[in-house]
Amino acid sequence: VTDRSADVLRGTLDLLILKTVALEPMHGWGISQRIQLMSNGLLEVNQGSLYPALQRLEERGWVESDWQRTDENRRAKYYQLTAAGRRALGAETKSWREYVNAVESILGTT
Amino acid sequence: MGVVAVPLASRLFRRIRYFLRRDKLDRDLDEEIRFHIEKETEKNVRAGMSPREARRAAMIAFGGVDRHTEGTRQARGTMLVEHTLRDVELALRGVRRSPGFSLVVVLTLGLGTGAVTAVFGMANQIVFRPLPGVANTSDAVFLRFCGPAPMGLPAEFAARLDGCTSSGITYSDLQELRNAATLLDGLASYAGLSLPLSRDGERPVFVSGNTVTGDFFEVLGVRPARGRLLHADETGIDANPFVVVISERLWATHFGMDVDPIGRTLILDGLGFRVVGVAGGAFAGLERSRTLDVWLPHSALIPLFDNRTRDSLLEATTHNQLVGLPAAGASLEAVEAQLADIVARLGEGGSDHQRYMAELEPALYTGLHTPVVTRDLTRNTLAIFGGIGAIALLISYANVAGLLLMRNISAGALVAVRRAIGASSGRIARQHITGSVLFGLLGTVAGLGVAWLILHVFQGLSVRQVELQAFSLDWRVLAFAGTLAIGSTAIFGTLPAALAGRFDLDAALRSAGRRSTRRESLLSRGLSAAQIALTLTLVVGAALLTNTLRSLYAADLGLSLEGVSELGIRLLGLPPPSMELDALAEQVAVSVAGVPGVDGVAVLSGMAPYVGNGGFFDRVRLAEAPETEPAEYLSFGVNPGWFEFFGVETLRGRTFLNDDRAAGFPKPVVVTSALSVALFGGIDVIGRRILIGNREPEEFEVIGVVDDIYGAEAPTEPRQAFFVTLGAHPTGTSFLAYVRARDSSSQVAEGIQSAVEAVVPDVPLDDPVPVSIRIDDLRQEQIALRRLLTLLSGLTVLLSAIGLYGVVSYDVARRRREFGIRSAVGARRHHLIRLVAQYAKIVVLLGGAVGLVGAYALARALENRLFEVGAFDPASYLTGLAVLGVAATLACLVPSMQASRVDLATVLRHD
Repeated sequence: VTDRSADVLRGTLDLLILKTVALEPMHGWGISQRIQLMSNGLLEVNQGSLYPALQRLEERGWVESDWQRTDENRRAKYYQLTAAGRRALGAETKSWREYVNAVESILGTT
Repeated sequence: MGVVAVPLASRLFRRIRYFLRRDKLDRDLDEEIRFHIEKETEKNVRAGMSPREARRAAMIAFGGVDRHTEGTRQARGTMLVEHTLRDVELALRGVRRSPGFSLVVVLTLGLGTGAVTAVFGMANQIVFRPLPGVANTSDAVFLRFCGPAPMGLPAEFAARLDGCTSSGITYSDLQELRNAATLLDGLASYAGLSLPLSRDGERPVFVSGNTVTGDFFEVLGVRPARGRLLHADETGIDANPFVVVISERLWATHFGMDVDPIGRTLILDGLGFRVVGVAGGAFAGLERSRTLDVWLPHSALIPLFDNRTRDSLLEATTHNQLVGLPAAGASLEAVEAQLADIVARLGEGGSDHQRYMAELEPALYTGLHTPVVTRDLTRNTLAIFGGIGAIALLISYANVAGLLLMRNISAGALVAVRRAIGASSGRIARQHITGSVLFGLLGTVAGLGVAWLILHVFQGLSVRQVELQAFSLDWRVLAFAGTLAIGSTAIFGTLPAALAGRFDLDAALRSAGRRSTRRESLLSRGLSAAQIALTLTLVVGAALLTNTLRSLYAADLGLSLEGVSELGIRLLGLPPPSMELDALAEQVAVSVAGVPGVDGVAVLSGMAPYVGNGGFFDRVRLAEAPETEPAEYLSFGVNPGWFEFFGVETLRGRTFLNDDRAAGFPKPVVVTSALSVALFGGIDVIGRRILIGNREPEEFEVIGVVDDIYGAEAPTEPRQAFFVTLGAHPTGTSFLAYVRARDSSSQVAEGIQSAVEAVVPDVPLDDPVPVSIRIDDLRQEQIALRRLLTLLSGLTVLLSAIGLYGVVSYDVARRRREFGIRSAVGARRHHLIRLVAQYAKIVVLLGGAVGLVGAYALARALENRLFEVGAFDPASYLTGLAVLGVAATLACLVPSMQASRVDLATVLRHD
């Protein structure tokens, strides 16, 4: 992933994280695996950039975190969506779709 | 993203929580990332990589642990606070590491800020202190009528007089004005008088007082301590004249505090006045230089001056002072406009005087703190205060800035190292700013301490009659000074960080062992020289301003007053025909001149010639134009030897001779230079005729022009005055004797008194009072301000000396290592001192030369602030050079002595 596409992706990364943790509470590594899986490896983000994004979402109050035990009985920090995060996910998804449609319609006409 | 708004409050709350738990959050993040990398590594191992390879791949996939850790921290939104805290910690460590340096910086800032704050607080209190007993000191206004001098004066001379030629107002006009001025809640008038007070079995004493309108006390907001004050209906000339309000002081001294004075009788000038009340709050009139004891209705003038008719009293333009209370919400401009309308209306078809009044402009002067005539002097004084205060602050800031700059230049290598290991310039600059702001804050706190100390020392100390109370600090000045202190330290603290971009690491590291590179040394020498130049410039500026103030006060009043005492002689119940007074005064003069120890005597009728506020005025018009409206000028009756006694030089013609006493028609008159200009344009004055007097003017011929005289309260404006012989002067029953004595012992004073009594027995006599004391009383505020200014100037000089010492000695101290080595290889102490002196010579000469040029430029800029002090005033420049010399010598000597005593081992270890 080049630097430029990383910039473009930064906003969508937030959206993907929200979508991912909307399914179930998950730790950082899990989120990175899930995003990779869901995007069929197309969106291979720098794994570390997940953490500033998570912190940003938490600071906005869209996700919250707590330490839990994994299946292997290891300590990990789990993130889950808050009510505000759920509302934000809906709104952001809608605006993303509008954006994509707009770009699509332009590409279709030319 | 960002479609959904996030509540600010909850976000702020979270940030505070992040900040408070930042250590735990950092540990958590570390653990979280460790967990992530372990999981990724395990995944890679499962995919068949070797453990080492798996971990490496995991790290690559993660992409820079430090970068993302920092990014996550930044996402918390608390970095600014965290960095600042770290910077403060660093700065505090810096303060602890070099306590001497820090102390000099903080003290210099504190001394400058504190001194200016305290002195301005005190000056403010001196100028705006309320008059005792006058509740409306700030709200009430003085009213004067201003305008061009009348009498068809040539335009070019009229322009010279364009200030406020105060004019009196007749009682009938005053009534009209009072009734029509709706924008004034009250308009009172008062006029001074002095009356003999009879005492049982003792010689009468003179008491000073005012005749006033009935609403006088109401306008001022004076409350009675006993009984009542005058009523508004006690204003007219028909009001009962025989009532008096007395001061608390007279109550105590004349009746005794345990006696109820109300209803008792006071015998003033032989007439009985019933005491109706005592003015409260130690009220003693509106002039601080004169303590008043009695207040009578204006109508009392009729029985007191029984030689004048009621009508003449009504028509006379009296030199009443007017004081008014603007109605709530009325602007001064609106009040002035209304008064102008009223006066203009009075002028339509009225008397000569009313038509003259109509041409004048009413002028209001806010606040009763300061008499109108002294305001120019007070304003000048305060302006000079402002100038010196600014200089004091500048010096202290320049000193601190110089020290910081010098220190930061030596820190250049350190900065270069830090930049090389990756600190951003912004980060380094922020650290410098934080350190400097910390100094600024500490300096401001120290300033508070200094201000408190100065105020404490001066509290309760009285200068003349100005008692300094427990003052509160002037917060506005302190806030201003503090802002400046922090701002200037911040700027000069950052500058080197910006310069540091140009230091290259290699050179810095190579020089680190030697401590001072050639370039640094040049820089710091240049800085020392600049510091010296700036200090010299500012000290000369301060000296020029201080000397200006001194010459303002020491301003020659045109009268030689050394060793002169004043003795008022008032002839009771002896209204002699005027020629008799003349002869009597001459007899007194001869009798007193015979007292051993007395060198000379002069006699004068009218007000004391050195008093700038008021006086005895008489109407003058040109004999060739008798129809014109007369103007009023200061009038004195004097004996022939008067001019010689006071050293008043004759410019043209002559002064009086003994023969002039009995001169026939026309009588001789002598005018001051200023009056000769006002009357005749200064041309062809001798032999011109003028008419003097109101109802039956007499013709006088100008026989001489004398040098100008000045009033003590406004020593820059020459007074327009004329002199006639004692016999031709209309005051009648009193005169002032001036005695020049070799010493002021009580023996001489008693001798003078008995010499007077030998001629005029049974008159009330006060002790002769040195005129210098009288003048100091007239200028008490200015004297108090001048003392403060001396204090401020002293502190300014001290500050500049400290600053110079600081910068030069810091520079010298940087060479300790060199000195250590030199003395280890056998250099004697005087060698080292010579070395320093050589170094200092270059710096001081360079700085001194630049400073002199700067000082001259500053002096030129200040030129119209200077009074009788030239831009090239040698005394001011010598002061500056002396300060520079002493400070520079100390600054070089002390550290080089210390340096020469240090042994090499200590220096090397220290380095």
